[in-house]
Amino acid sequence: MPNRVVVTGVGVVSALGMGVEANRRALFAGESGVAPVERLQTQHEELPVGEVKYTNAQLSQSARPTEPSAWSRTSLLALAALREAASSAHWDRSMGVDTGLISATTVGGMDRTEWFYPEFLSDNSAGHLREVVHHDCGASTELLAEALGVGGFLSTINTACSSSVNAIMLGTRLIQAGRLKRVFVGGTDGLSRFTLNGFNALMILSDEHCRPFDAQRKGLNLGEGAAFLMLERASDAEGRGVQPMAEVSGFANANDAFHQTASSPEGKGAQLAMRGALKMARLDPTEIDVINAHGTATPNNDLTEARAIQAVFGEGFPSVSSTKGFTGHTLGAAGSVESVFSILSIQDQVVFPNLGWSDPMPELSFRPVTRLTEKPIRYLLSNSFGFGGNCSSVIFSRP
Amino acid sequence: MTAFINGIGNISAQATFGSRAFPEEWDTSAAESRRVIAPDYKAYIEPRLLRRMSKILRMGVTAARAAMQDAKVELPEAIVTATALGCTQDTHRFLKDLIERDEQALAPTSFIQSTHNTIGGQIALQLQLNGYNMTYTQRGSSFESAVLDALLLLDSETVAEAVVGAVDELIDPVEVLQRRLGLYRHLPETPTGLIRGDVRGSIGGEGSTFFVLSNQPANPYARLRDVETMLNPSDDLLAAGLQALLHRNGLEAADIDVVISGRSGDARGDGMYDQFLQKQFPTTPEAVFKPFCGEYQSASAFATWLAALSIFHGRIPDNFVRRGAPEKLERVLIYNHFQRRNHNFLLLTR
Repeated sequence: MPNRVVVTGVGVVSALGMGVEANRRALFAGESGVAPVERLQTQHEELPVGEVKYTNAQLSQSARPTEPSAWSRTSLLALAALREAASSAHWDRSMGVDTGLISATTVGGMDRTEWFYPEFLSDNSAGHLREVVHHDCGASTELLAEALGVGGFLSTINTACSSSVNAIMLGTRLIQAGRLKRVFVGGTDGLSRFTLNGFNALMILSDEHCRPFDAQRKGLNLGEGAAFLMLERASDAEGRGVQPMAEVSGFANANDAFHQTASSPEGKGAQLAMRGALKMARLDPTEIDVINAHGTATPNNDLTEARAIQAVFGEGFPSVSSTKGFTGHTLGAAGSVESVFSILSIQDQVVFPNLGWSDPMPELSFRPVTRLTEKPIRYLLSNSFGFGGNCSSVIFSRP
Repeated sequence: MTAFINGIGNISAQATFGSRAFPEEWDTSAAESRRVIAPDYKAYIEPRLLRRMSKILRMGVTAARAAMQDAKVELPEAIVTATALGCTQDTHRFLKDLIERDEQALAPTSFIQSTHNTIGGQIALQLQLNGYNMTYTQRGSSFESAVLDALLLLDSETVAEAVVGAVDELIDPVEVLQRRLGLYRHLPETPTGLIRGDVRGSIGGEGSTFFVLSNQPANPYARLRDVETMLNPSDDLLAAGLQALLHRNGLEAADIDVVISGRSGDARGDGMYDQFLQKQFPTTPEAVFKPFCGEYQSASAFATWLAALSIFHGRIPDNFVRRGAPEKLERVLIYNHFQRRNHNFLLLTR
């Protein structure tokens, strides 16, 4: 594509740990971060979750927020990931004026609102206002920009579980259009009772470790995390002597227009997103080496995503793996967490295993990669789909 | 960049819905908050679906459909939605259930509808639109984010037509909270009283304003040219943002026929407009809009409706004009800030 846009820095926090190296170690070792609930105070202790194993106070110490009392868990996770991405990209405040920030979140400051609300419901003049002033999704992005010293365009996307792939798309387009010189893109979501109970009410949570694409899959595990990528023009990266980690080669956003929460049987939106990304990247489906699937382990998602992959890629489809078994579903962060994993795949030339799989789905001949597998990877496609029919795909390539 | 505004759907506290003309009468009563005048939602949404939909979903879907009807567009290629607070009624409902039922036996409907992209998703679902679908939520710059995205889509010829709009609902618990936070006043106020801007706080508002933007004109209202957003800018950065916007569009400050300012009546924030106008537009006429639609994060979409109709009809309603008298209405700049933090410019021309 003209105006080649590359990734020059990454940062990630997930149930696998704080930082890229902790996450890489766990991915190579095949160690899941999903475990019984520890930190979140919920009645649903039967549901395993992909929690980040640090309290807000511990996160505050490493992320160094400006006014810790104002920060939700969503913002704290994001700041830790963002600081790592900045340092990984050799970014400093002097570059702030030309730098943008596109973040994504679905729950925003909900974890704080949950503490505020019981008191407020019984008496609407009660409750500490500092618990709700940063409830909205845009709040975290503003706090992040100010803490880091990002002075360019900033915005927040909430397209449910596809949110942070859309942040990558918008960031790339803003650079290509000349509206930004460089941009941090990513997403963040802290675990909350709101989302845990929401998905539980929908009956799509598993009380065991999730099993993406397995015949016996029972549902997803909820996770939390944050990840950010620094994007800039290839020529700018070269100009300041920074080695690109990957190139953003293509992407697309489509809508399934079928149902608020369920995917169409043939995965129409997913097909459109994957085909659109291939078209923009000017690639033939056979050129994709790996697919990082959305693969939430719900009966509906996995079947329709697998059908969509088969429709686009045919029987000889590339290596497919969902990393949800490692992290749980991190919602608004999922697209960026998995983009960082995708970039690690490209750097290390390995496919990470799809944990929890043993038997193929009876409906079609579809097998994910279940062991850490070395293979030459030039192009990798990552999927993120969400409620509201939102489907997005992005293709990264070896620089 | 440029896009023709070929259609508008505007559900607001004024009689703005379903007509290309300005309302004949304006609601200028003293109000604690300005809630929307509900249109006949049944004409736009099937009753079976309507029953389950909260106000924000009804407003969002209906205004988007109305904009498409106005532009005579059936299948737009992109839907770009902005909402600062999202589906607050459904969020409130699910949170309340969760607390009151102690996390047991919860119904999922309000959770399903609580996510911000439910609005864009419902528009896509009801109209069977498989194209680009995006939702922005950036406080007082939510609408501007959506406009920037839509302009980029059109400019890069990714799509020829996009529906872009903003919607926010005002529910009682949020109104109470905003009052406690000092954003809204405790006593009712008239638009005239708000324009004076001598008291702390504004009055609450809500609305749903959608536009069909296109590469091709089809009886257009105006052109939407450009947008600039800033977070908490210094005076110098604000001035630089304005200059960048004007420069990109080959204009100077003197070319602007009227500035529509986001004066909300809040004494703490309105002084910023005085300073800015004195410095940058000392003699340019000024119009206002928030006294008529109330203060909310995405109210600049209402201002964009005002600007587009003013350009289309060549006149701006007298009660919106605060200073001077525009000689012509060909180039309109909207300058709005929300809570003194999110500062935005939108530029419209004939």
